[in-house]
Amino acid sequence: MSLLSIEHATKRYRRGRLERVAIKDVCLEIEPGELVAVWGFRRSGRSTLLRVAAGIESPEEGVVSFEGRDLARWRNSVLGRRIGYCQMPSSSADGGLVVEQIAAGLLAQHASPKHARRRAQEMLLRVGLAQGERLQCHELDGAETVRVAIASAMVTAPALLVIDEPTNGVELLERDSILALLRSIANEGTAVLMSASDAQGLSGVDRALSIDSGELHGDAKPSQAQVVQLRRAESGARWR
Amino acid sequence: MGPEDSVALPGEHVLEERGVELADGSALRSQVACAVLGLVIEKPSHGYEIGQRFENRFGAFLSAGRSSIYAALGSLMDAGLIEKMSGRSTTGVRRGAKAGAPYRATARGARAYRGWLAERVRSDPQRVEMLGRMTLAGVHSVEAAADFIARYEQECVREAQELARPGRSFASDSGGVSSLVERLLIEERRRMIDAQLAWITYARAELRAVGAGLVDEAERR
Repeated sequence: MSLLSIEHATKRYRRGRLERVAIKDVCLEIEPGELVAVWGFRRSGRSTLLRVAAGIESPEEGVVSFEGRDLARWRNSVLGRRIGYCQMPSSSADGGLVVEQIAAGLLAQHASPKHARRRAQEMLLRVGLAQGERLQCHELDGAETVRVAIASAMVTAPALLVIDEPTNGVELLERDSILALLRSIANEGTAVLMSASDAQGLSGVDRALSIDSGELHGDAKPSQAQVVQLRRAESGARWR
Repeated sequence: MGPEDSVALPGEHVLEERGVELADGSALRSQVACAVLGLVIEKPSHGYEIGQRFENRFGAFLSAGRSSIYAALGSLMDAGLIEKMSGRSTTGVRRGAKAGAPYRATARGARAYRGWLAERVRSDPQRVEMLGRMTLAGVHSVEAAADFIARYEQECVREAQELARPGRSFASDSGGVSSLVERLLIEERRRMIDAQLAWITYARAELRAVGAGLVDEAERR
């Protein structure tokens, strides 16, 4: 059983009489610890695919399963807990302390403020922003904003992190370090599904797919050899 | 020494000298010879060590046995691009080269190598032309073209995936100029792939339009 399984998903948007197919008959499976990137231009369907994968939107046709359960039924209990979705990057315009923004996800789940704050501090360290604790959100640069968004999504220790264009708005020379952070998160066992609009975003991923006019191209599931490797890494991570 | 003669740049282990300009480097027609020359410029070495470094650095791309390495060293010597190291007296007068001495690059060799590299780093328009002709020869329908495009896209995506995969570094040092050059070359390749992927998206739009046109035509009939 895959962690995430999208089977023949189709999603349409309507504006008046006009209808646009955003994703069309998409199939995709993701294993724990796998880093998967979907490359596509604007309006290719990549963001819709990610929202469907995260359970934010439901497909009109097809089924999305997460941990073996129909995501359409369970999304309220898994989104923000077992699935972390990274929203970019209007957060930099938001007010408040960075550490408060990261803790918000846990506070919404009735965690104690003390625990939420401590966990937020841990996440700041994890994403390489140890100095960010006293920063206001509006003080962050592009790369820091992305790191905070990742920390906010990871604070609940999800099994799947979905992140739309993680290098968007990040300085050229800092993009690789963001991608390396995502790689390290996957190496620790969290599956990562990300979108990319350039070749850089595909560097070092386990599986790279492309999407154009809503049609997904590439390997819909990992090879058997990849699955064996990922499961071995996952059991190793569990024992550490 | 004029600007043309002053060719050793920082980091190049080459012999600075005013030598006789030998016949131009036909030795550099062989990729193995070019790779060997690069290794000698990087670090003066004996033939055996060059063979080992060749295998480590270029083994995945070029196949060359020990005899090919020594043949390349011989042709590079003949062309005056490398030479055996020799002792020098305190007055600067050269003593004879030792038979078992390591090889090092001459200034002329370093210059020839940079010229060869600059030529190769550019994309080869003839290759693109040849691929275009091969494609025209074997792709005769919209479906076949779409399949070709899909396969081409997967190749591009796969290459992007492999670029800069951790542990795939081919630079000899972990930092410094070699590392910078490696990053720059990777970035150049990424941008080429971006252009290829943009072309693929355009090609698909054209194919869809042509496909829709064919369907309309068939319905009118």
